[in-house]
Amino acid sequence: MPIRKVWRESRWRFFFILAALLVVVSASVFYNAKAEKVVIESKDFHEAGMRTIRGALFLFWGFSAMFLGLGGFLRERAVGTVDYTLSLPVSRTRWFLYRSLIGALQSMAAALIPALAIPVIAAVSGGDYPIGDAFLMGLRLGFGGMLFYSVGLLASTLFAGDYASAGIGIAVVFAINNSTRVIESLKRFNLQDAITPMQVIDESTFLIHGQMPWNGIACSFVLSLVLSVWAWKVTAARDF
Amino acid sequence: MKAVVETRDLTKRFGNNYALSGLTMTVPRGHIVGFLGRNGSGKTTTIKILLDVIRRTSGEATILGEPAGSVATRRRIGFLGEDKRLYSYMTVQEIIAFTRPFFPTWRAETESRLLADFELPLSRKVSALSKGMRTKLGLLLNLSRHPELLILDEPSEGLDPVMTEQMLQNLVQQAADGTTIFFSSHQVAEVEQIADHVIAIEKGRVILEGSLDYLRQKFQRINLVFDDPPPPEAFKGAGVDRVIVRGRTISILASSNVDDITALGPILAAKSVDVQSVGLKELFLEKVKGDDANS
Amino acid sequence: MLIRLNPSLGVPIYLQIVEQIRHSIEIGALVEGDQLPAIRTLAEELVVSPNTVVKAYDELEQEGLIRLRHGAGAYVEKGKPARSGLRRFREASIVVKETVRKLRSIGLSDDESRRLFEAEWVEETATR
Repeated sequence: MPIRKVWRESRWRFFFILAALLVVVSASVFYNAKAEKVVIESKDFHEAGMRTIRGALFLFWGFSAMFLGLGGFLRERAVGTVDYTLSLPVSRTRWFLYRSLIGALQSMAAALIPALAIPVIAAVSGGDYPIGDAFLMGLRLGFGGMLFYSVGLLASTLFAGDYASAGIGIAVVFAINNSTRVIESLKRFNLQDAITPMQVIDESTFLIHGQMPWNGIACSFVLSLVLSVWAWKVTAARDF
Repeated sequence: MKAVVETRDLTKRFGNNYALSGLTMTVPRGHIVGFLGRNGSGKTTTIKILLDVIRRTSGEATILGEPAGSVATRRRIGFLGEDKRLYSYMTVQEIIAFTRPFFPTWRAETESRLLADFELPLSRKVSALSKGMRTKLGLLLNLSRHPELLILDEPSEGLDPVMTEQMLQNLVQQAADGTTIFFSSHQVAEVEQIADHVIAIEKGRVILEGSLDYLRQKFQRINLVFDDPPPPEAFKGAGVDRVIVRGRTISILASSNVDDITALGPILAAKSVDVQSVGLKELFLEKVKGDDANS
Repeated sequence: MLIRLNPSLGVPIYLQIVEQIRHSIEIGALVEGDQLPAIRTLAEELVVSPNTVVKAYDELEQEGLIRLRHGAGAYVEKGKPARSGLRRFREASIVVKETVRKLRSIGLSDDESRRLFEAEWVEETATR
């Protein structure tokens, strides 16, 4: 089955990324919860959780999602199997659909699972972090950050060679993130703030209160769809 | 449908370079057709266009009556590339199981027979197979689906003589079952051996096309020996493709009118007249040279 | 049946097959009633296109040397000629020896005899 082939070719990369993210998230939670504290209270884990989501998880997941977008026909051409794959009675569009969907699901899982790990780590360490908050944040990260995934997806169709695509993908993700943090006029496009808008996070408890705005996430998600369609068009028209 | 593959004025440009310049050819059903050409003449480009791996610049290409690129048609054809590369991480069994469901005409008996004949180890990964084994696996994946058309790009490339012979035998077997075989090659001997029809290309254009028997009987070499050879111009006329002078011998490659040309011998007082048949290699080289001279 | 082909001769392969099967029949390697390999089998053995074998068998059938029975293979129809090549020559040389002796005893010179023969052959060919 074509979809199983696509999964098989990407699963180890996905598992590796997931494992790495879990390690990063755990380390971050512990560090943030215990840094310079004599007595650790529950709210320390709330703060640690939020800082992790805004910081380590956001950063590492962003690059991971980009990586999950790499691969495709150009990679197959490099190993020599593209002729065989394209000679099968499966359209390029169908292949692209499978690859992009599996990659997107993997990206979402790579956001949700580490996010949900935070309450677990907190509980195990004697604190707490509301599962609802963690799930919500993971979901927002997954949807809003799909933009990074689609940057990788597009790069993989435009540039031959994983290194070239990865390099350009990293540069673009970096550029998007930093420019929206530093440049005044672009600050409102900052994805980090869109995913975890600080105005709905209580300063003292570091928990969510009030309604989370979704329009920032929605815009980012739509943009990622645009990039994905572009990637699809490139794939459909290209010579391999 | 008499033709399984048809191209009309097919052109492919890469930047400023024309890989194909108006290629028009027909692959007739039920034959073994050799696609003969030098390296870089456009054979692989043509095949890639037929499989929709690359897109044509202009012109038309159809397979089994449908435009190249039709997904449904790919269910009825087979393809073996020059590199014979398959998914390295799959085992022999896995890639067979992966490929089988795509083809409704797949026959399990053929699969088992070939598995046994080729002695392919089911649990070995493709990455651990030699090129010869990979070729056999590629053949199995193609032959088991009993395609109407089987396209091969340089099938014997990188294979030893024993493996080549085995492969050609399998192709002949498949042809006897009704599959049309279309294979590209730069080796004349191979084409002469199993093909009954040939399409020769040079610089992206067809230079020779027809059944091998027809070509063998059509072209003749007439050698005339003179004490004092007349100028080559004396022999220009209908059917004369090329005139070569070697000392006292004038050698004429004739594509028709052999009798009339031969009769020139006694008329011009030739010491001896000799008519020889022309093999495909000689014919192909002559046509390529002619192309070089004209371009 | 041993068939050796040379695909790079300008001679069509099917004609080479026809010639060799015909020769086999002439020298008695194949006799009337012998079964020839199936088209598919011979094609595989010789590693040539099945169409080529079909053409060869059709040609042989046209010459009356074999008969194709639908679905039951091909069989040698006409056996070797009444005399093998060797026997033919032996018989002929006896005739020639006798004739030469007779002509000489009549009083003809060898040149005159030769001219008589030539005239006879030309006339024979013309009337054929």
